[in-house]
Amino acid sequence: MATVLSESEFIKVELDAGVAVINLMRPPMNALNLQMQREIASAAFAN
Amino acid sequence: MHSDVDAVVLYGGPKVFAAGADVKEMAQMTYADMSSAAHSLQGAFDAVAKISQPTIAAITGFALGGGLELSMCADFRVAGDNAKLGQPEILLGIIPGAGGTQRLPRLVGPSKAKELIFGGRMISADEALEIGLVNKVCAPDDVLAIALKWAGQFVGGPKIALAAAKRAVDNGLDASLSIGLSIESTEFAALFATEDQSVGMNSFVNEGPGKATFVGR
Repeated sequence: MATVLSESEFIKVELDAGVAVINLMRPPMNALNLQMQREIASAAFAN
Repeated sequence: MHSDVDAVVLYGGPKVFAAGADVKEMAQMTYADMSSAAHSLQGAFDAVAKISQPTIAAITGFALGGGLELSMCADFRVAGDNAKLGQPEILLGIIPGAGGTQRLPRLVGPSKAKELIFGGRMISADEALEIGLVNKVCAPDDVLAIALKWAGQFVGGPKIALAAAKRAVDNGLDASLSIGLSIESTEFAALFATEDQSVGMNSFVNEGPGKATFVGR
């Protein structure tokens, strides 16, 4: 069962059996805008 | 990254990893805007490079510009055979600004990196494999599963030693050989303060390699 570690508008981090998946979610191309880049940093720093 | 995490996969979904920065947003920015934003843009991706656990980018479709730069912040890259990778910034009159001019040459060497950055062309997953930009190529539908399986190999591993290995390699690449060797010695010696060193070495002596049950401390 995956649990959600963090979720923001474009980034969702799920944890399942010790492996976290950082999902990039800005369809259709995951174009990295400034907000998404900030959210990536927040996801990486989260503890 | 959270302490319950043993490994991390970066995934953009089944169709695309990330096709680049939001060019429409960036096109409006002035020199003044970008000179205050550039450092934090680079820093956002550097935060991914600084994740202490092993990280794997699972690449389907495009990993271009900022997308490729983000994937290069991971320790490993698994790409679908439909993947297209590149640093096309030069075609827009700019250069990679989120680590591309630094991380690409560290992965593939300066001349190949310059070839890709000066030319801006996209390369296939197979060519990326050949030059060492990606670690594995597989069917697009298998990318996530293969990345998760690889990540799973680190679950229950000697977490502190894995983090030390990552720091030793990454910090060493930032430094001269003599400083790098000094970094290695310090990291190596520090592991003798961990339970995993004791567990791992005793298990090796008594039962042979690969039998240890690590505790992550």
